[in-house]
Amino acid sequence: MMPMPDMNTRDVYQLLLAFSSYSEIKRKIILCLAHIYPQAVSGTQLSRMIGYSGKARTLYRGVLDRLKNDNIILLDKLTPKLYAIRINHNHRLMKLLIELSQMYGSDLKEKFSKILEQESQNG
Amino acid sequence: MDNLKHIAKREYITLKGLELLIFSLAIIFSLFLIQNYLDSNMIQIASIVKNPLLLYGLLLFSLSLSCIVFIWRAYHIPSPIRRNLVPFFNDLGCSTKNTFPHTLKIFLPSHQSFKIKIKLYQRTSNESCLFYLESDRLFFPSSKQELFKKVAENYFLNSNLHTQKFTTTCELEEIHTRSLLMIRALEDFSREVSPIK
Repeated sequence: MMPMPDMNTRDVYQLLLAFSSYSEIKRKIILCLAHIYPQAVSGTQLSRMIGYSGKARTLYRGVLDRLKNDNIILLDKLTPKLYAIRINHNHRLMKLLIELSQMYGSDLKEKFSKILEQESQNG
Repeated sequence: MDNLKHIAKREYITLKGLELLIFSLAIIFSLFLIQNYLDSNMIQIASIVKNPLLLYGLLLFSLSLSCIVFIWRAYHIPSPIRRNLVPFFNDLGCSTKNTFPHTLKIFLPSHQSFKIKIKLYQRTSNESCLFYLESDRLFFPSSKQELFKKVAENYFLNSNLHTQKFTTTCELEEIHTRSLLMIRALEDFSREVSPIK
C-alpha cells in the first residue's frame, strides 16, 4: 500500500469542485500537465497529448490564456511563436493534483511520455 | 449551446454592421455640413438634390435611428442567451439587471454582487460567446490578503489584489458552474471576513 500524501479531504473536495467547473478541454490540459510535471511542453506537444486536432494556435489564443488568467498554468514565452506550458506548482490545489498524479498516475505519465517521445522524434 | 454561439456571432456581426453604417452616415453628413459651411462647389452632391433640407433631414434621421438601434442592441443581451442565464440565477435566489454594454449584473441575497460581461465574439481566436466574471470591489484590509488569495485558489478564480476583485473568464458551457463558484467564493470570503457572532 502506498503512503497517502499529506492532504485533507476538504482540499480534495475543493479540487474536484473547481476542476469540474471547467470544460472538457481545460480538464484534459490540467490533468496532462499535472502528470508530466515538472516538464514543460509546447502547444503542439500539448495538443498531441490531449488528442486535440493539433491546432496549437487555437489553444494559445483561447483556452490557455484563460487558464493562465486563473493562475492554473504558467506560460513562458520562449520565442514569439513558441511557449513553454507547465502547471502552476505554486497554486495550492494544483500542488495537490501534482501530488496525487505522481502518487497514483505512473501509468498515465508513461503514456504521456511516450506521446512526447514520438512527437520529438517526428519533429 | 452551438445555437447560442451562432446567435452571439450573428449579434456581433449585426453590431459591427451598425457601427459601419453609423460611421459612413456620419462622414457623409459631415461632408455636407462642411460644404454648406464653406459654400464650396467642390462637392456637388447636395446641390444635385432639389431640396437639400430634406436630404439633411433624412441623413440626420438615419443617423439618429442607427445610433438608437446600436445603443439598444449593445445594451440588450440577445434573448436566447438571456433566457439561458436569468432563470438559473433567479432559481438561486439572485436577482439580475442588464447594464451597458452586454453586461448582466447578479445581486446575491447576501447583498453582494458580480458582473457577467458577455463578449459576443473574439476575432483573434474565432470564439463565440465568452463570459468575463468580475466581482464588485470587496474592500478588505491588507491583513486579509492571504485569505482573499486562498479563497480565489479554492475556486480557480483570479485574485486581483490591486482592484480587490475576483475575476475569471469562461465559455458558454462553463458559465453556470463558474458563476456558482463565484457565488460560493463571495459567500466564503464575506463569512470569513465578518464572521457571525
